[in-house]
Amino acid sequence: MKMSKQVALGLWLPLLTVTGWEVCSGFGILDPLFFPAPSRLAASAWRLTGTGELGRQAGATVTRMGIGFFCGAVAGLLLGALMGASRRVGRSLEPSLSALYSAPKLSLLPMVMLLAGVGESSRLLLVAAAAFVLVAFHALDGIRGVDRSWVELASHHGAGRWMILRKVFLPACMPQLFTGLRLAAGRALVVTISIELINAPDGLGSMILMSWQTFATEKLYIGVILTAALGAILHAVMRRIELKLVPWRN
Amino acid sequence: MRLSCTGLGAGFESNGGRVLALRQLNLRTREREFLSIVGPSGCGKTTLLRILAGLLKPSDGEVERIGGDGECVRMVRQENSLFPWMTVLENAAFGLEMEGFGKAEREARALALLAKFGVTGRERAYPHELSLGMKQRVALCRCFLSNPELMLMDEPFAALDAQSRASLQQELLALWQEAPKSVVFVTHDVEEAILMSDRVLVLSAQPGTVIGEFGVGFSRPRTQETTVDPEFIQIKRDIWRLLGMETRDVAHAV
Repeated sequence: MKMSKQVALGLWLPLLTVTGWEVCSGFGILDPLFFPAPSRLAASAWRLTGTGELGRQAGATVTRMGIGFFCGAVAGLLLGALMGASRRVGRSLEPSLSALYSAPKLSLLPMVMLLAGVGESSRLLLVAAAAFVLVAFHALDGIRGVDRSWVELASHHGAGRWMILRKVFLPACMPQLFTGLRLAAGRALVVTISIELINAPDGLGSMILMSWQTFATEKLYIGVILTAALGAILHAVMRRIELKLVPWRN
Repeated sequence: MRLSCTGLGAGFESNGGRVLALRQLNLRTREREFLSIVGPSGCGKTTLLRILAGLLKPSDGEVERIGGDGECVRMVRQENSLFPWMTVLENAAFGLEMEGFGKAEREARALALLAKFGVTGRERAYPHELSLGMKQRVALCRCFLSNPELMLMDEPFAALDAQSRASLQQELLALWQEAPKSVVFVTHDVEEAILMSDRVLVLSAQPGTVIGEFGVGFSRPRTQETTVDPEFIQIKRDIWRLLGMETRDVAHAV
């Protein structure tokens, strides 16, 4: 299917919703206090962009998520590789990692704040933790799942240890690792927004919470829509990178 | 290079019991000979080939490599013969790359041989985009490019449809005739074995051991015509008779 056609197919539902909403608002079917018309939302968003608030809030969220994701992913990658390389390390750390995996990250926030303070560092730590477990597990799975027959094929053609690592292990665990990175990026966004809804001076989550508390409905909607759009963009970007780096995945 | 094996035995653990895959197997290959090994499925053909390739240690007996530097043995297998993350060109040139050839030289050589096999215009494709026949052509290219002294082929055409198989057989034979090397070709297809080979060995059902040997004297190049020669049919009948007895034995045992 062509790219443009795919995009068109993905857009019909949002477009229909927005149009229906606008029409209903125009006829006064929807209460503008609870359901401000899309055209009003757009005007508001434009104004908020002009004052720089929207950019600041979205920027705060993206930065928080980005730093947390990057640190968590790097740490997860290293630990996953270590656990995959050594059976001993793998066996000894897997239960702890599973425990961290199952624990709802947000439930850890008060504890983390107790330990790391109420500032930005505890928020970043939690976002990083969310990305960390997913990446670590997928890296580990990827390494463990490398088919021995590929190693045999490479060494049969004279590949040494280093070549086997570079030509077999690394590429063979790439698809699984990328699944982990994609899931981790999504999870990092969710955790970031959730933390902001609980405790943060800025960010889209904080904006949504503030708007609810002050009954600023338009701003509330804008926050939610922007968050959703951020998720979609993130997903598309990760897909694009994956296609580039793992072109053999069908 | 020649191989000489005496009293080969191999077994593996399965469900707590020990299954014997090969028993007292003697085998001698000749210089630049195309040797085929046929046998019922599960007779240990793949195990034998892996032992000959040095990928598996036999539990009894040993494999002696005579002549040449005794080093360069290359195998083409039936499945997963190409790395999925490498392009056609990278796969074909992989052996040369491991031997330390520079990028320009190995790619030029790989492209030339790929073209000979009719794999043109697909050099940058990944294996999942290719038909099975194309994949096996690329695997054969990689094998030939290493210029091995002994080639081991583990049912390389078994998963192909009849037409692709026939054309790959001819392509392989044509390339082999240009510079004959020692080949051990394992197959369960009796006609394929006779058509390709100078000599055919028949293995028994598990545990595999040699129960018959047939010299095939037809002049080369051989074509599909060869397969309807009365002598060809006679050999085929004889091999089937041997295999048939084997399957009957198995049926009785069960």
